[in-house]
Amino acid sequence: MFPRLELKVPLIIASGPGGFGEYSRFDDFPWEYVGAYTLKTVTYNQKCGNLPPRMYARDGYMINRIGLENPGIEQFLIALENGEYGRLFDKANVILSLGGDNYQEYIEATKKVKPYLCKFTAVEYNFSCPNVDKGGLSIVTELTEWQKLLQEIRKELTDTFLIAKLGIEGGFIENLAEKAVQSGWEGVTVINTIRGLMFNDDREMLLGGLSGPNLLPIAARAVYEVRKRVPEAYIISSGGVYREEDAELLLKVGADAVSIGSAVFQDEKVIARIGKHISEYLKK
Amino acid sequence: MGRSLINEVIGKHLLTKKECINVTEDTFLITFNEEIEFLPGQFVMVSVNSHGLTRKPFTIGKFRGHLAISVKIVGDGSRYIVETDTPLEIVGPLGNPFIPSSSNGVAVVAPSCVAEGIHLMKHFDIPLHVCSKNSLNKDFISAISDKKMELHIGDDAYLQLLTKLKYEKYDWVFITGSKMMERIGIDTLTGESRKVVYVSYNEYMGCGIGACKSCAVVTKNGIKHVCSDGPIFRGDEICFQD
Repeated sequence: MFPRLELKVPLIIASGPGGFGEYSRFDDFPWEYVGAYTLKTVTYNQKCGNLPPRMYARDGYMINRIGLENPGIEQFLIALENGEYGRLFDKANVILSLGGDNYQEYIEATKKVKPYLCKFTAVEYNFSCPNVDKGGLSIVTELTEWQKLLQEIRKELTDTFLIAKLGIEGGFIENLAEKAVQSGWEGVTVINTIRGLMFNDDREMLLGGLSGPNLLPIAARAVYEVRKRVPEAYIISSGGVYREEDAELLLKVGADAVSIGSAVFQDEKVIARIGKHISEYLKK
Repeated sequence: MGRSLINEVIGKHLLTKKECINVTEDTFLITFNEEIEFLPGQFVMVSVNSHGLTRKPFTIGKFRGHLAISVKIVGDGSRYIVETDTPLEIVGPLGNPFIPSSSNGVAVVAPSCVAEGIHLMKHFDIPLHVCSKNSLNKDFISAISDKKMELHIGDDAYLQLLTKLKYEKYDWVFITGSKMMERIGIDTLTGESRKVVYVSYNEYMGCGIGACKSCAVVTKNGIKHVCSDGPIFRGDEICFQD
């Protein structure tokens, strides 16, 4: 039996759009359909993020170049201890997302969070952010080194459900997923945003990561390839999920859970619609 | 890194349109039948259903005593907001209220921000200058007629107004419109005339509630966010990116 996340609904809020739980400020947020809520990626050091403009959307695409803005692991853990995210933890299972600029920072961040792991359902490592110069996507381009990192994190967190968030750049995603599972990791999130370029209404150029409904077929192919190569992986599918049928497609091609990201910007009620639909679909 | 808003509850409201008044060829003043409690300077995110990937932010104001927003059509989402007859779902009020340094100020707004401008004029009892690149609809002009308000049409008229304001004895000037309009205003008025310029800043927003960090603005005190630290900033705090 392969390890699986036990979620009331296999629907996960993706890291990034949901911030650190700000959506818990809505009284009508559909928590009953949230299997888990992934926090924004926390890196070893604080990151101020990229210069604006950081986001633009049109015609089924959205581009962002936030640049992993976050308070860094020390400040995050202080806020966690102070109960700043308490409302979120009261409402949902929470997945921690970690990142770093380099090998050592991933390891150091891992060591820092060890005393707090009981609070989290899983830890997702961001190996695919396209919007940072160091770490993120670039970490997987040195495959041997990356696998060594996966193994070292596994040794540090022996009992934690580990998820590698992978993109489609930097190598075939099924190869990367296979390396993660060979290193003892339970799950993968596929895919992250894809590097893109758009001009906004002020004719400013944005070099960032593409998301939005048009990513769906790319995410579906990635899930399909990973499932074929690594049958034992727990696959969280992420990318372009805006409608009930999008989520069903990803489950059909091999996903264990569906992650909702930028669609929450349009309307968080999408979570209830999709959650209800996939619950009924999985009962059949 | 942005003010933490994580424990402040956000309201949602369903609003029905009362009036949709043509301000210019592509800009409209929409009033609503329902009221929400808000303070000057705050904004709302308006749902556009499937007509866009994000809700759209609009500063809120009042017109003829009714809740109002000004909408410039720039894409499918804003077109939907103007044209639909179905009630609009709004999230808010959001952002920080405008608290000026004194009562001796003046507001300068583009047509796309005229709802906020009219509200500031009434709320603070200050003069309002509406600066438009193009001519304003005659029906709108007669509807908004007020002795405290002046209209300025064209780029030259805006520059002439700024020159005039430089020498008038206001403590502060509130400017809201395009980024270029605001930047020219800041550059003109914060130099030798030593006025405080406030701008209601615009950056593309994903969530409007402090989660996504998309609406960043570079200030002398580091990165701030329009939704959680703004939307109003002092002009002399902003570091413009060339």
